[in-house]
Amino acid sequence: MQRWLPYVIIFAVFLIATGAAVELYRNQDQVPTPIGKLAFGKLGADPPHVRGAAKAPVALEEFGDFECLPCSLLFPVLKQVTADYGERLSVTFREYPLQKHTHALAAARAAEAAGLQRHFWEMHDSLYSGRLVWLQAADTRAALVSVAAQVGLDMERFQKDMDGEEVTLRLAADHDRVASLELDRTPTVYINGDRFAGSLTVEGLHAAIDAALGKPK
Amino acid sequence: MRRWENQNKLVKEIAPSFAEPSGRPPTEGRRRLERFLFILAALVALLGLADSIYLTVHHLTGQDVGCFASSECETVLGSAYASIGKIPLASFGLAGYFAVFSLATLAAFGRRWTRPLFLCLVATMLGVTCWLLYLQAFILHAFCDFCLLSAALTAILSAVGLAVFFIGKRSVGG
Repeated sequence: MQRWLPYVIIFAVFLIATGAAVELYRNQDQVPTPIGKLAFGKLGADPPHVRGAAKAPVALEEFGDFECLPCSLLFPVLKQVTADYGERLSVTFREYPLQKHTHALAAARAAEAAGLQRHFWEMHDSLYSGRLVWLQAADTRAALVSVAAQVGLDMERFQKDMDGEEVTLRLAADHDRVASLELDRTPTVYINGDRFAGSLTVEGLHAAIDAALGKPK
Repeated sequence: MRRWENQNKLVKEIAPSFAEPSGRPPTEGRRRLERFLFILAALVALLGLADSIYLTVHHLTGQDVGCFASSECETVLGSAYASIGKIPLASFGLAGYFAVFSLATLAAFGRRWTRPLFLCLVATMLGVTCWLLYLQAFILHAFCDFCLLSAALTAILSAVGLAVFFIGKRSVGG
């Protein structure tokens, strides 16, 4: 018995370690998250802005800037893709206003302020679809307020929230996530935790989402 | 003369462990100390195993690790250095700690052939730990509690390894 005892101990530890790992993995996986697997990094603003099914098997995360042209070109593409996949896809938007864009931060603040009234996506869509209007306005803030009014927000609260601490904290949290993922451009898209490097077109995203769903090419 | 030979034979048969000169097995005291050190190493490796399982699972699930002392775990564990390809670095630690545990357990039960393997593995882990500490301090400028815990455990294992090495050297060298 003495001869085999060390091997028995090693095997027992192996079994216990494997069991503990599997149990921990299951428990972690059961943590209620509004979206599928995200890229590993700082969490970002909580709760995130998610469009689509809460438990969708594919999670697409976009890091965007309302002033950036490629982001505004991605906007209709994502709308199309979201409609195509329905319950199988969730889309998360993260604020990443680039410093070189003069009005991006103000627009991000406006979107987050709308989010505090649970109208983020309406504001998001209005900001992208009417991008040139508010971007070319002489008074950007007034133009953003006007967009918010069209969305139907409580304007007194919106104006207060736009400069408020809660919005600042959400932007800072998203900024931390951007930094932890070492991003350097917008738009950046992650699909189920993997950075998407393909073409940001309907076809390109379809291919990546199908692959994430386990469909043959 | 014959009496002396008989006495010498008796000593060799009854108490081989008391023999001291070069090439002979260590004394009972040293053997006990060595056994204690290997049991200590096995227990430390178990802690390392738990730490690396936790980090590996969190890496695979993408969940927040939850630092205690610092808030920089995610910076370290979310960096490009936290994995090799798609394999989390913590999983290599997991394999390393399990191997150390196995070798130390076998050594504690008298399997002396595991000693050089144990020493080589601990030396390798110490080297990797130094590299990871350098990355955290000078490249990432952020520290992760669980990585520091692993570094501390590897430091203890290294101290144990060093003690085992010198005990072995004295036994062999006389």
